[in-house]
Amino acid sequence: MSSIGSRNRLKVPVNHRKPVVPGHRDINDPEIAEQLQDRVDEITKVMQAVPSDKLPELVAEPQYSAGLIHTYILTTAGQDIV
Amino acid sequence: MKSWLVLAPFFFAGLAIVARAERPHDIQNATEFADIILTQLKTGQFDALESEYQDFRDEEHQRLPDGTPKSWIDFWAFELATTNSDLQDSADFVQKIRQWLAVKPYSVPALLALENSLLGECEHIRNQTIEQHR
Repeated sequence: MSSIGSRNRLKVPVNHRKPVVPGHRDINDPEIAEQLQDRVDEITKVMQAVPSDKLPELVAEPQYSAGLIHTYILTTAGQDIV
Repeated sequence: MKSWLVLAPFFFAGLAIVARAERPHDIQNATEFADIILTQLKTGQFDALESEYQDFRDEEHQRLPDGTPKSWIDFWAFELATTNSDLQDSADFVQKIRQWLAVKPYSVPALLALENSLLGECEHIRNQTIEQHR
C-alpha cells in the first residue's frame, strides 16, 4: 500500500511568491491546505488498514488507480491559479 | 476520374465509421442513475450497493442506454454528490459511507465510495477557494 498521503504532505510556502504571469494569484492558504490534508489522511488511513488478502481485489479496481492519481495531485500540486 | 477511384475507399471507410459511432453520453441519464445510487446510500441499502457493484463489473452488459458503463457512474455519483454540496451537507453523506464501511469492513465498493466522496470534498474546497480569489 502506498504511503502517498503520509510522505508527501501538502507544502504550504511561508512566503507568498511573486506572480509568475499577469493575473496569477497565489491562493496557498494553511487553513485550506489543512482541510485538504485531513481528507487525504483519512483516505490513506482507511486504505492502509485494508488487510493484505483484500488488497489484490482493491488494487485490481481501475477506480483505485484513478483515486490514487487524484490523491497524488492533491498532495503534490499547489493551489495556485493563473 | 482516377482521383475519385483513389479517394473512394477513404470516403466509404469514413461513412462506415460515422454509421458505427455511438451516441454522445447522455448526462441526464447518468445523473438520474447517480441519484438512484445516492438514494440507496442515504436509506442505508448497503447490501443493494454491494450487489450492484458486483453486477456493474460486467461492463459489457451493464450499460446505460447511451453506452456508458454503469460502473463508471457508480463511483462518479459519490464524488459528484460532495463536489456539488456544501461541506456541512456533505458531512452527513460522508458519515453514511463511513457507516457502510463499518457494517461491511474492507468492502471494496465502500472503500472506493469513501475515497471518491472525500476527493469530491477536496474538489469542492478547491473550487470554492478559486471562486473567492477571482
